Amino acid sequence: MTQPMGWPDWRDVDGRMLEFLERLKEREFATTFCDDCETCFFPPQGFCPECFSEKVSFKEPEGKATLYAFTQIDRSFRFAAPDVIGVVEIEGVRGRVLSRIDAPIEELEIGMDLTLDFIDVGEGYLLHQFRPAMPAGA
Amino acid sequence: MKAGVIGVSALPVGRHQGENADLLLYRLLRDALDDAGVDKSEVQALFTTPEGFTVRCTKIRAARLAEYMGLELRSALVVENGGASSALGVKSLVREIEAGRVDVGVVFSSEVEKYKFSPPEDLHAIMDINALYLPHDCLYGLMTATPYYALSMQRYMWEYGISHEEIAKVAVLLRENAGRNPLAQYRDPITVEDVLASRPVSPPIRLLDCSPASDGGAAVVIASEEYIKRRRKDAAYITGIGEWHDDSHFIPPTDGITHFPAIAKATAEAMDAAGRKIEDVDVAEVYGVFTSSELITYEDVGFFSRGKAPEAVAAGETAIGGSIPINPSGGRLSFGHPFYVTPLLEIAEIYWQLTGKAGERQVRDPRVGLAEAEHGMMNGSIVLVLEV
Repeated sequence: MTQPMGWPDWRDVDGRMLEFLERLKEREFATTFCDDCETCFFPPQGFCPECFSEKVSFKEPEGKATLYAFTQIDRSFRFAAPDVIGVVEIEGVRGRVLSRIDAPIEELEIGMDLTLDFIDVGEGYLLHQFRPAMPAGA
Repeated sequence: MKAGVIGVSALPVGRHQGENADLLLYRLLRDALDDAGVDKSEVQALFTTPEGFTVRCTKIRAARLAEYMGLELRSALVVENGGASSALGVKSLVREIEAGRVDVGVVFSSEVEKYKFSPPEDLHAIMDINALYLPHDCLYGLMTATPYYALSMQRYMWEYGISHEEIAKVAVLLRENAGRNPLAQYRDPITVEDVLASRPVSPPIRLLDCSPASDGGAAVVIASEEYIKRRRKDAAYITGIGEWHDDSHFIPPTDGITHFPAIAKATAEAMDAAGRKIEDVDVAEVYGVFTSSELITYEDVGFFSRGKAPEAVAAGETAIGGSIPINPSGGRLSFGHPFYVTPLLEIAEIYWQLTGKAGERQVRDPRVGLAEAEHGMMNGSIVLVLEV
């Protein structure tokens, strides 16, 4: 379901995007955390957008993930089209995560709880994705 | 020292494939100077944008253009900040005039874009032109703006309980306006049913919810009040400018996506500078690129309260004969949308409206006009108030 698209120059200004991708390969979805002002922010970057500190380290967010909005794209270069994408809010993280959602669009609702998941996209890379959390008792 | 628009020129919006974008610019400049009745020796400033979003952009562009046209200048600049670029060019020229450095200047832009790409061969080119979506979004190969606006539209419908049918009416009205605009890209009437039956692009957005990608060009001649009075020109004075940029360029980190705070902040500043209230505005051109963002922009500018724009459009309030005509040109959806040129087309339309030159789409006796442009997903906005 995925097609190779290469890994072009990401204009990764400070190496943190590449580290993010490397950590994903280990099934670790980690973003950057400011050791000075303790803000956890996405996307990962080496410069805290709140206090300008460069003392940042990677941290796996622990907050609940919920679906803020979702749509379907008919021109997905990496995945089979159409493909579902959504904006995910994670408690305690500054910044929302635009992510593939692993579910048919008909089964999604704004505000629903999500579970983190990973998808093998070939070329040695795993990417993060989210899917609806199992309902309680299921 | 106030500044005013004294002449404009514009190309039909649509396709100018095979034409040279610079040559189009030279002709636009000549035609705008003719329209303003200004001699080329009087031009002291030349502000433009890069060549386009999908084509190679060169360096030292303003100076090169000036050389070709044999112009000596006191001010020359290429302005780039996405869709707001040429409006920011107008702001910069107004500031030069207000500072007393320049009497007459021109802001102009043209685009002959590339429309066919074939991934994966063109992938790097696509990524270059869409650098705005890098880095994390592109992990998924998401490289157009439409899905972002789809997310916004979905939440807008959900938060306010609005149906697609209610939203689609604005596309129908804009098409009706474009039918009266000889420069518009799409002029054949459409119905709500046409919008709802058009090809799904990114749910809930369908094809007729979208503005087209377009080629086009426009030039705006701006002069000082002193020059305008001395030469007895008809002018639309720029009486207020406001500008705001959020700390985001598509999905804001914390704020909502069903209202665009940058627009409200830019409008408030522009109104304050002009000493006007939003109720004073007689005609407006705004940068709505999709049906939903068009409607949300009406709300953020302050014409209607949140979630109420669809109702106002259905009641005819934004039509040419309505209480506040918005996008009488046909807007981005039907006039067409060459990104860099669009703000100049908006300002040209307001100039035509305020000076009684808008032909079949003339709003009755407007005195105060508003033009709004944006970049990203309305993450940055610039608003200009024009008056006669």
